Amino acid sequence: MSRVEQLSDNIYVLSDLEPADPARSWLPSDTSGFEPFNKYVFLEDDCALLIETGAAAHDESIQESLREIVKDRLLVILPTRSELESIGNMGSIIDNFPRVELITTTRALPPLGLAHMRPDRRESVKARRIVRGEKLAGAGFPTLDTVTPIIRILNTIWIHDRRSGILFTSDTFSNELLPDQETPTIRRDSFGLPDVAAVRRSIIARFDWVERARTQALQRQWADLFKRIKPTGIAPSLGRVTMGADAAADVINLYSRALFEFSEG
Amino acid sequence: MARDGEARPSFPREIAPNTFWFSTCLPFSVNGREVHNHNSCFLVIGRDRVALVDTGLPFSWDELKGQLLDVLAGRDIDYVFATHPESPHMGNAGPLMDMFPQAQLVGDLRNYHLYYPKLTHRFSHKREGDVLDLGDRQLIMVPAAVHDLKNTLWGYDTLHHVLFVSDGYPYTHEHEAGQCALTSEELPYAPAPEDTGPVIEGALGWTRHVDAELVIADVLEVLRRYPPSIIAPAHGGVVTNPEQLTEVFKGGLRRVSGADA
Ligand SMILES: [Zn+2]
Ligand SMILES: [Zn+2]
Repeated sequence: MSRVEQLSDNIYVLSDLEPADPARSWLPSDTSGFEPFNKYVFLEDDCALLIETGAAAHDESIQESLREIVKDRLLVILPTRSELESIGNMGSIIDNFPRVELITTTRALPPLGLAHMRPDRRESVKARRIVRGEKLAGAGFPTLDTVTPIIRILNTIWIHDRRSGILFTSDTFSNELLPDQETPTIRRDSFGLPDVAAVRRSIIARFDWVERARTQALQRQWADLFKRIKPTGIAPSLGRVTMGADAAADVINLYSRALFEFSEG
Repeated sequence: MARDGEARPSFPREIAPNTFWFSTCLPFSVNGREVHNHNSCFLVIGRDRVALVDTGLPFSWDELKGQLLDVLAGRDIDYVFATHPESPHMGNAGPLMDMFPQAQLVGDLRNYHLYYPKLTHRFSHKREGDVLDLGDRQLIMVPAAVHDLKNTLWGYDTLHHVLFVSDGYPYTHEHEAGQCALTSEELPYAPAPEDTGPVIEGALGWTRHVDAELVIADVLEVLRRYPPSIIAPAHGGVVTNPEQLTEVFKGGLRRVSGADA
């Protein structure tokens, strides 16, 4: 079973923990602790949205946990990007869940063409693409909007839930690991947040281009976004989740400083 | 340039002796105009061993499988070299490793134990400068001057000087029958910097925030160390005029850099 924690009355995070491995391409080599690989389940009465399908190594635990939460609802899968933490179990979930649909952000690739699955599933499962900025009301989730990410590598979307105020941020805000396996994935205050230098090092370990970036335009887009959206929770696909408006504001401020104000000097 | 009425080439295509190009072209629209983009992989056949550079898309596995078996004519693939862990580049690694039980998965395989937990005993981790010895030719692991995911490697064939550049040198072509398997010099028009836009702005979206000259310097350094006669991108036609297409790629990078500053 994945570790399951509840973000709000209808939102769950499924975390599978991996020890910090200096060989992980996106972690600074001095990282220690445990990295949560997060999948989110967003429940409505008749349907459930799964944000990320997780890495293949966690397939069994994810599917077992999913079945318990989703029950007989229609399962709609939405990977935020086509990286293997997002689409790693797309094929096996599509093969194993009887009522399933797929939404992707791909441009030219057919959504079901991203992964291997049984041929009968490839022919029968409903799948479509969405573009950034589109709302998910048509897919059965009236409170969810897609958001254009400020920092990304691949084609990526963020998702904002207007009801709970939670922002799902894919691979951004993903840089805080757990000191041990007992620490919950969700942090509910700002106590013990990493320092700016550590966050910057960790951002650059993943988004290596940031080191050479001209950040004025990004900073403007960042400020515009967080003037418009005041998240009450930040839910990345890797790393710790933050809940609570004050803690979320502190985290956004921390990343903003790490991205735009930090200098090695 | 290809003339009307001539038989147009199709996939798989031999781009240098014992070097084959496979591709799935996918249409999409750019400002209302329908264009095509490649998702290519390349088979490099040496005297003693065979390497596949990238794996193609899961979506087109059935077709690719047949084409590969035809070209291999009874030989096995020894190395499956995924340039980076994204669907068009490693999406068929699983079935390929099933089909060729002696094959090793090679590349910058950081994180791959999470993606292929049952294949870890067949991983061969590579870094820049490492060499796959195919007998009469070597495939050198080259730093990926332009990449999306950090654990990307390019490849260089020492015999025919083919540089495999993964997401580098992308360009779309027109949605017209017969253009898909044409090289950069055979297309009825010369590729332009605008044609690099769809891939650069998508997979390489970061290039808009980085000074293009820094990126270009990295590309030129790779070209200096590994001078290509042919450049083989995953998302563009095979380049038989590297100098001209390097200018196009440079133009594409300059075009997006600072676009929203
Ligand atoms: Zn690619
Ligand atoms: Zn084509």
